[in-house]
Amino acid sequence: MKKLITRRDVLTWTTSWGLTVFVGGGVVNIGRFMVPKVLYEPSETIIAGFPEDFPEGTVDTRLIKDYKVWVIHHGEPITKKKGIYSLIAVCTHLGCTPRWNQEELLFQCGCHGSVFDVEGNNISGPAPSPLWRAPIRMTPDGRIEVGVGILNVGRPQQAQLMPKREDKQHLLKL
Amino acid sequence: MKLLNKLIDSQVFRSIIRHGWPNTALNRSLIITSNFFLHVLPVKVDKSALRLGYHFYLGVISFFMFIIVSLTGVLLMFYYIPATDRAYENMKDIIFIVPWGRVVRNMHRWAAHGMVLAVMFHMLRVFLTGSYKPPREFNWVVGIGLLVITLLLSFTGYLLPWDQLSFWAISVGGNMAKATPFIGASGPFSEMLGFDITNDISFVLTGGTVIGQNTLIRFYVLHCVVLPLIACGLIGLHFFRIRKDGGLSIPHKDLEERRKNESGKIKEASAAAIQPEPVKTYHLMALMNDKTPVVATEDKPYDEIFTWPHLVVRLVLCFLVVFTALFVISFIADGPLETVANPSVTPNPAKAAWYFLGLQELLVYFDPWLAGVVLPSLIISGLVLICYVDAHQDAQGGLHFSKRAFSVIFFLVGFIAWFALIIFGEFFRGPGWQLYFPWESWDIHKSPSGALHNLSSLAGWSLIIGYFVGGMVLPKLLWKSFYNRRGAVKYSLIMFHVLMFGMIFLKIILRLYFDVRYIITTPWFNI
Ligand code: HEM
Ligand code: FES
Repeated sequence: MKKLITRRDVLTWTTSWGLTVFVGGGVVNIGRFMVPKVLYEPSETIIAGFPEDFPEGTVDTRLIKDYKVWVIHHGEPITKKKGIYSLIAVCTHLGCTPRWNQEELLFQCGCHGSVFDVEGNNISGPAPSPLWRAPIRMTPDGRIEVGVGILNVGRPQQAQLMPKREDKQHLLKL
Repeated sequence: MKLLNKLIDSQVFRSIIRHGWPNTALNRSLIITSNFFLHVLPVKVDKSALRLGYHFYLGVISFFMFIIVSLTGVLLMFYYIPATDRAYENMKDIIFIVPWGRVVRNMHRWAAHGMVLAVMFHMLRVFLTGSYKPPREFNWVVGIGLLVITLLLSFTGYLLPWDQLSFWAISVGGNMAKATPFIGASGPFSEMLGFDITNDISFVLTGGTVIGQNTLIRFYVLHCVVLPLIACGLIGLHFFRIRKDGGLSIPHKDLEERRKNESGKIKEASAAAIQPEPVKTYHLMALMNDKTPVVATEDKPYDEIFTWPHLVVRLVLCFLVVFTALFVISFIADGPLETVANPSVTPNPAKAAWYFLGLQELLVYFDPWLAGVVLPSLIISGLVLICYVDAHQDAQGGLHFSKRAFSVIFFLVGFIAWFALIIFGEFFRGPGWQLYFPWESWDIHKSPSGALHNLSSLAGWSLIIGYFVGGMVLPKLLWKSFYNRRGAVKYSLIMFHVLMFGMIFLKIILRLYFDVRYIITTPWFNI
């Protein structure tokens, strides 16, 4: 009589699946091990100052050194709009820090030559999207609070969309 | 002399080295087989394996560079601390305070560059001599693995000095990983799969969303432990396979000569050195009855000589030359070290290490997911395929241009284009990645070129589809034998890579002469 399941079948089956689970589990869990859970990165919010510290029509570069954000107050000569907003100084191409060029009123990235206008729109070079807006709000005592660090941007793809870019979280109407 | 002989005959010496002077055939064999370090070599090698003008010792040079990089790297580890606030200071200490530190650091740096160069040219010679053909295909694949590991070693090491150069090269590189299709935050299709900057591939590689302490320690461990171990494993496998594949490929000129001489004086005593054996066997004495493990060999006239001393002296000489050259260069020329890394100021221009400049140059024309991820992957898959889509398996041991015209030309064009892009990126790019001739001053302001436009979707799609369909069909109709010799699968694999390669030039021309930004645009990706 032919046995349906031999002892060899059972052993082969358990060993093969045991090995598969062992190797697969190892790979998956070493992968999980490698994903950082704690970040020591600038995701905090900072107090940028009083609105008076940012005169109309200027791009403020004082916060670049420590927080990599520009605080910009709309108005002549840079724009004709109104309000204060903050741009994150990370090129949307490959992450270099662009420079503010006061003569040409443009942000320029040295790495591959991307150029952004004062509102952050990518107007030349390889950058695929506008500069990201940092969340900005007024504290109860009348100071400007800016969320720095690209962790605050969330999904970069969405943050660059036009309505979101100018909602009240990203543009401070005075 | 007497004393020396006594020493050699003493029990202590005999316990370490069991054989006598290598002046007899037996001892010359024993010195190879009973020595741990030498037994990777065969007892006898083919005479033509010593030919300088055939393989230029490039593989050997790569290996010695690896040894030198490893030794100097261990020395550097005694002083280097992978912390963002200390690494740069440590580098300064090594250069200015530690005795010989400057030279050790320079040797590590130049040997790493030298290894990249040597490995690339070793690959070139293996290709040109057709040595990747059966039975050596798999060793070619292992070689590609080594090429990739060599580049990764250089890339991870680049971050460690924590200066402006390294910081920005790695931050650009890490952001390229972000552009990976499906698994990178800003790559095509990844948003649908739920990847963002806090869980994508670049987040795992760099240990966060910005280049910082997490990145430094990750790269340090990869550079000092993980990648060297993989490299050692692959090098071991590479050498093992060289022997199992029957030694180095033999120049076909040598083979012809041997065949001629042999037929001239058939079975003469003087031809005894030539052993026309069809197979070489390794005997597992008494363990097996009739079958013995066979090392792949071809039906070739062998002409072998003892490894000791003929090959061993050459290896030692080669090491001395490599070491001396590196030492002298390191004594004279200092490896670059810029000011300490500063995340808020990007140097302008920010150039990658030279071996990646070709890819950086392509970033001008292509989005990062193409230039940084897809095109490099295609280079690697194309290189691997070379040995499996080959049509003239017998065309080995030399160029055989008439049979290999297509593959030789394609490979050389690719190889030269790679270096041409590197030279262009290194010497012709200035601030803002604008075109500056080497003799032009970077102080001249050059404004970015005028506005670009996209092709209309009709024009774009018909161009792309026409290009690929035409490129697949036309060669088949024009060169029937090219297709017939390879069959449908090999043919389409080859043509796919050729067409993707050609697309690079198509896009460059469209950009430079027609100001085209994208050929096709979709909501998910642009080309
Ligand atoms: C770390 C990198 C590498 C090391 C240390 C290395 C070392 C060597 C050595 C010592 C040899 C003996 C012959 C010679 O010196 O030319 C050799 C042969 C060979 N290598 Fe490599 N190699 C490396 C990378 C590569 C790469 C990138 C390829 C190809 C993609 C490759 C493919 C081969 C093949 C097919 C052979 C056999 C050649 C023949 O039989 O003539 N290797 N390798
Ligand atoms: S990173 Fe700014 S242009 Fe590439």
